[in-house]
Amino acid sequence: MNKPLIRLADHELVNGYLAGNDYYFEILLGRYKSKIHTTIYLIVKDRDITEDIFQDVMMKIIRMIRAGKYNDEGKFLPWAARIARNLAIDFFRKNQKAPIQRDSENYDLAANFSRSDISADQKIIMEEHERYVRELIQQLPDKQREVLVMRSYADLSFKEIAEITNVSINTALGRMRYALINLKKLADEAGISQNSTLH
Amino acid sequence: MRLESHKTQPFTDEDVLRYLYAEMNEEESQDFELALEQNENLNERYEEMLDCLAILSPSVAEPKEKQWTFTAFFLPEAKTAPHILFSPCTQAGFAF
Repeated sequence: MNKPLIRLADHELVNGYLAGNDYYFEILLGRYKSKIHTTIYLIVKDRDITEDIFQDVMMKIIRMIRAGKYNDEGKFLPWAARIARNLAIDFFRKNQKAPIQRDSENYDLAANFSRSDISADQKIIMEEHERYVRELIQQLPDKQREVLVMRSYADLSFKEIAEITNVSINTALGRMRYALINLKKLADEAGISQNSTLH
Repeated sequence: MRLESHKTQPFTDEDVLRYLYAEMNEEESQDFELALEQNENLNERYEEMLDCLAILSPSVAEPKEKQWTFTAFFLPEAKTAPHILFSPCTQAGFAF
């Protein structure tokens, strides 16, 4: 009996796509699109630019697969994320946009998003989600919350955070890691996940 | 900034974050990417962090479904798929 498509390995989906079944590529991208998107957003910090770069990444991935430049033995996500990361960094270097600074005490998760292309309903859902996430962040231990807000919303580097908080860079990184893991746990417990995202 | 020599030492969880936030230099990033391909455990930790980060702004982390789906068929060399007829760009007047 044939394996369900959803259980196919990455290289099997790539081969299926190369054999002419476009749907295999949709499954493959569906598996990783959120992570690829996150990879870009972490660097460019702008929703619209992220969307644009994501499209470029998709085109490059398709072209490379068709040119036989995807190695069957390689893992798809790191390969695709590397393409995404490189394109995002290229964009950032070319444009040299100054990081968007936000007041860490009054950060607004929505502040950096362009809302011109979303509906009123989507906006309500997005704002509701952001409110939940803000509440979850408030539940984190002080030191974890501090570094998460400074890195993700005030856009300070880990080196800057380490200097401001008078700790080593590794300590700042460790606090950030625990903050993210705890935030994910809180979100899972609250039933907030990527499944609640907008399309 | 290079915290340690990764040619002799494994990447740490903290390194995963530095990579994701683009705070590694080019050489170190390349080492990390190579390690990602070779080290299943590192790959799992990398994916775990990406999952956690997506919680912060999933509305951003999730691309528009129709947009990325369409892209797969937008390339000139792409084969025409039946559902392309219902894609947003086709509806917007793109000719194929």
